[in-house]
Amino acid sequence: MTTNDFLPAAAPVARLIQELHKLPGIGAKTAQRLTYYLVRMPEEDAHALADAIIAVKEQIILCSQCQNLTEADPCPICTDPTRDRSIICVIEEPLDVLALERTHCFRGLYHVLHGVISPINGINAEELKIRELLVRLKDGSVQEIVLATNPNLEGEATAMYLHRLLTPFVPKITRLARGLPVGGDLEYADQVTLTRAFQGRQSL
Amino acid sequence: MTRPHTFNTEAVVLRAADLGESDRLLTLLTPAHGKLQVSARGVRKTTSKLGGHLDLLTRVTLTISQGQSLATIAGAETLEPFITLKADLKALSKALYLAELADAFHPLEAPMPPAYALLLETLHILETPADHDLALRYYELRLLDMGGFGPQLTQCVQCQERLQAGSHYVSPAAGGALCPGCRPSFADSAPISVDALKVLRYLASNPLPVALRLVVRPPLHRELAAHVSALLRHTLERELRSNAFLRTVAQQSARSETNAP
Repeated sequence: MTTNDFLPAAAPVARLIQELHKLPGIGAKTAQRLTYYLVRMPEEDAHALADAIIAVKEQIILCSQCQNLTEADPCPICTDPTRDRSIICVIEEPLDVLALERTHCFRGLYHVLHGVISPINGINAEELKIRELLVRLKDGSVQEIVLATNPNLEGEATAMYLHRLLTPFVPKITRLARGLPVGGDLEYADQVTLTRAFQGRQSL
Repeated sequence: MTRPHTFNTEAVVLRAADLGESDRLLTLLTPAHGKLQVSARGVRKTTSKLGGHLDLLTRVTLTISQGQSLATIAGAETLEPFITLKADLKALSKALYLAELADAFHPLEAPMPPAYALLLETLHILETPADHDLALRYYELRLLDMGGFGPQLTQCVQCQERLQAGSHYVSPAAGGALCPGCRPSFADSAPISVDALKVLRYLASNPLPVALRLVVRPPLHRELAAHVSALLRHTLERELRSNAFLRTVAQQSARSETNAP
């Protein structure tokens, strides 16, 4: 879609509509609504938004160790002396760090792959941050890798690939348990989930 | 083809892409409606009732409701999850290749029931210890054939003379085998061994279980793969992206087999 498609809006308005329209989940109508909201917004709020966008682009870098998004390299998690450095949890996206940190049950370090092996979309192992993970395993201090990729086909394929690749370097490789979600309903569970739940049952 | 507002169909999930907050856009292959694109609402949430049934390479029975623009999945029930092949990275890499090939080959909403049966038959083979590469070649040749792109392998495509003993060539642009005399007219022609030609003919004229009785050695497998992928590349006008992952997994398996005691 080009700026011409949004005429007769004034040129700067059309430009903003076009830029917002590029964002995921923002359709043409939403982009127009947001633009007219921004036009009416107090000037300092609009500047704050613009500054925040520029700040993330200018100040956010990848942590050289865990590859998570950070302001300082290494990131606060990698430099935290209270965290267990012998266990690394491998995840797909930076957002997964937030989800896992909210649980407060994992005190080790992370490694963000920035994607998942997806052959049909042309994403192969080389496109992920796997080389960086191998570098972290070189000194032999890591005792366990937790593979926490999503429990779907592509996440499983990535986990299987990493399992084979990392076996010579780490004594223990684990995978997050798969089974029934809290608040779920047994009746609606699919065969694979139920099978996994049965295989992973635990004594009370 | 006009369809009722809500209809039931069986399908194999070929491709999934994230859509919006928690939805997925699925590409399905169905027997009666061909390839379809439908949205699956909320399936990325852990409590989604449908999510577990709609993973890639799962055979499902679906209720689809036709929306204004995009059809939506209203109900899903797994028929076959293909757990065995999904637990083996080598078989899985091949199944993903099949999914990409099916997606690339089928235009939207063009029903081709035999192609759906062929995909299922090949996925079943990937769950057994049979020769998976040979099954892949079978799928590729048969799919090309069903689409009207099957190579002509018994007589020269150009002069229509029956191929004689001696040296043979294939050309994707010509659409099959060439005799030495006609070869110079096609720049993309490549030599093909008599064995490779025979295997291709055998695959093209026998049902899959019979075709799988052939014992094919690795060098011949490599030659077959090269010829068939040249044909596919010519027909699809692009390289399939999952080829790279197939190679990565094959190399990794070869390495771990040589390292094994």
